[in-house]
Amino acid sequence: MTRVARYWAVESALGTLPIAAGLLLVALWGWTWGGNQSKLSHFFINVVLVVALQLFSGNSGILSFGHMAFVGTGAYLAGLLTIDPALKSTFAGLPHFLVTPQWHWLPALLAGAGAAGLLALVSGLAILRLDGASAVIAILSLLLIADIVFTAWTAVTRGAGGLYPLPPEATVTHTFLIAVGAVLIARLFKDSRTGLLLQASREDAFSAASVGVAVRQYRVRAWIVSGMLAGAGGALFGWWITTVTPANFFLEPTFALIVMFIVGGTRTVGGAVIGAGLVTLVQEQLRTYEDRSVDLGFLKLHRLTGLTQFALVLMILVVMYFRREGILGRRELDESFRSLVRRPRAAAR
Amino acid sequence: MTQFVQEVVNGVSLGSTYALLALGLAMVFSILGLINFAHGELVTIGGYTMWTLFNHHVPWPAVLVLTLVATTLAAVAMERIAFRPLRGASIVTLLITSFAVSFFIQVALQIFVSAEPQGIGVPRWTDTVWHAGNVSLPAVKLVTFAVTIAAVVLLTVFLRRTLLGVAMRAAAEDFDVVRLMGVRANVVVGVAFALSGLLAGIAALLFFASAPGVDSGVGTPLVINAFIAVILGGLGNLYGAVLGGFVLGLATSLLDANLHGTYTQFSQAFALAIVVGILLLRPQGLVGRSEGLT
Repeated sequence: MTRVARYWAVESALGTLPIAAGLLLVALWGWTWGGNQSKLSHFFINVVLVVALQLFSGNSGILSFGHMAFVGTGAYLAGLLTIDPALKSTFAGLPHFLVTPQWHWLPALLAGAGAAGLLALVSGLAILRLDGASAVIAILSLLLIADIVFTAWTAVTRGAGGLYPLPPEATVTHTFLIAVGAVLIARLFKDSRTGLLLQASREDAFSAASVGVAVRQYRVRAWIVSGMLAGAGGALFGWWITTVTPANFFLEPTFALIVMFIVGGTRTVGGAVIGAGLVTLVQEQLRTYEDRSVDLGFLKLHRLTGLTQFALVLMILVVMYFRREGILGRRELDESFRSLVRRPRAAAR
Repeated sequence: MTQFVQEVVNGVSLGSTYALLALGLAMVFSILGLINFAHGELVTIGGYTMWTLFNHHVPWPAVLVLTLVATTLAAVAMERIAFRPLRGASIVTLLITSFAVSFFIQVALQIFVSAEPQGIGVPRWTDTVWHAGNVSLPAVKLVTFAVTIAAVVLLTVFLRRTLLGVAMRAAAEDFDVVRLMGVRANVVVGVAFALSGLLAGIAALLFFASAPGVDSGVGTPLVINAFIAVILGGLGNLYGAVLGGFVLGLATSLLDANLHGTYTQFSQAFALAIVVGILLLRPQGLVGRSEGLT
């Protein structure tokens, strides 16, 4: 039995090699290039976030509009734990136990992940009792409640004005390591017993339940692991953007996250990474054009506010109309490679 | 006591707006299985129509009619362009597409119309306030409630007494069988969208009569609350949607008034928590039938 367990775990860990290699290439580029590395860090952060979403929504089939609540939790806690105490002592009303510490980035990231996991545990026990559309709305409510708390709890979050300056700990190296870790966790989860049973419930919840799959329990497990990953990604996001405001964790970033998730293909970890790459490309390349004005002769536009958003909308509509399963479809990259290699042999027989 | 009555008046008025929007959402959902996130943008479009017309000094009865026409046409166009190619797709596909449509309209309004909030020059008489004892009754709030009730009654008559209405109710039960009976699917779906657009137009007129102005994001909080109302009432149940709207409006208003000090800012959060609590006890909603798994 243990031999079998070791076998699938090793195989699925090896299966992440194509993705890990791709991420390593990007990181190598960053290490040798030396120019504007923040774009690469952004990509790795997006990978962590979307892989977290894929872990829950991809396996369970329940689309989550609420993951930014976990991302925000991770960003605020990890940010507060790493800001210079001298600076924090000027924040009115900040609880004392948050003022004194100035942690190393990794423990702070783990604390952010832990807090998000705790939020996931509490919210999951309630929300995941629901099913179908009610669950989607209850998860959306989590996002709305989180946004209200982030905005109104000014003693800790500094409200709409934003928490700053967070230390720029989101280097290419740090984000790369966490991204590879996230991909590995997501893939292992997907191929684990819990992951497989959850996928069975995604295909047909009633059939799965009828053969003894404790659907709700597996959903809660995925929700917690996914929430922790999102919290870790949030910690990195905070250090990347250095000024954290509630708007960073509300509807627009939620939509961007969902675009990443859908465009690459919801069923695979590889698809999530590809989606993160495409969306980061759009976000980073179009951002500079948003402040420009356009004069088409017959039409003058002062500012192209929302251009990024517009591009994301087009991406998702193209996928929805022409390739609903996303770019990768059902197979992970390594599974596709393997079937490409095997096919000629099968034909020869 | 006076204060309580006042809070109820405010809550019922707020709930009326939610109810009108929830009604449109529920109608489209019951037939197509589509949770139309872009429904809020119909209200925004209504608001911009009012802004444009009042800026050009169009008399208010004409503004009334033209706004309703604009939102109805926008809803029909939305169905024809965005959702018809996806007929029969899964609920998640439809939801995400409607999300995209919503953002598309918002960005288009930001780029082509205005990125800043615009005040709407509504006629002065909308500011009228009546008094009953110590309770102040703003005319707009009473009208909002009256119009909502009238809309629900008229819609009920339409759904029960006309052939098309009966076809729509049947379509909500089983669309395929209705089509086998010789009812054209596109007509049923088109009318559902047109009615939801009309209701959104009414909501827009009532909402912007007292709202400070219109901007491209104004529809989002409205549609989110309408969603919650729909789920609260029982997805796809029209009367449940109306009830859900009123419950949500009352809960928000009462919490707003009765929470003290810094907690006021959290009132919406408490209202949402209450909604989730109700759903935990009745996952099928206040009025709906149970179909859930867990």
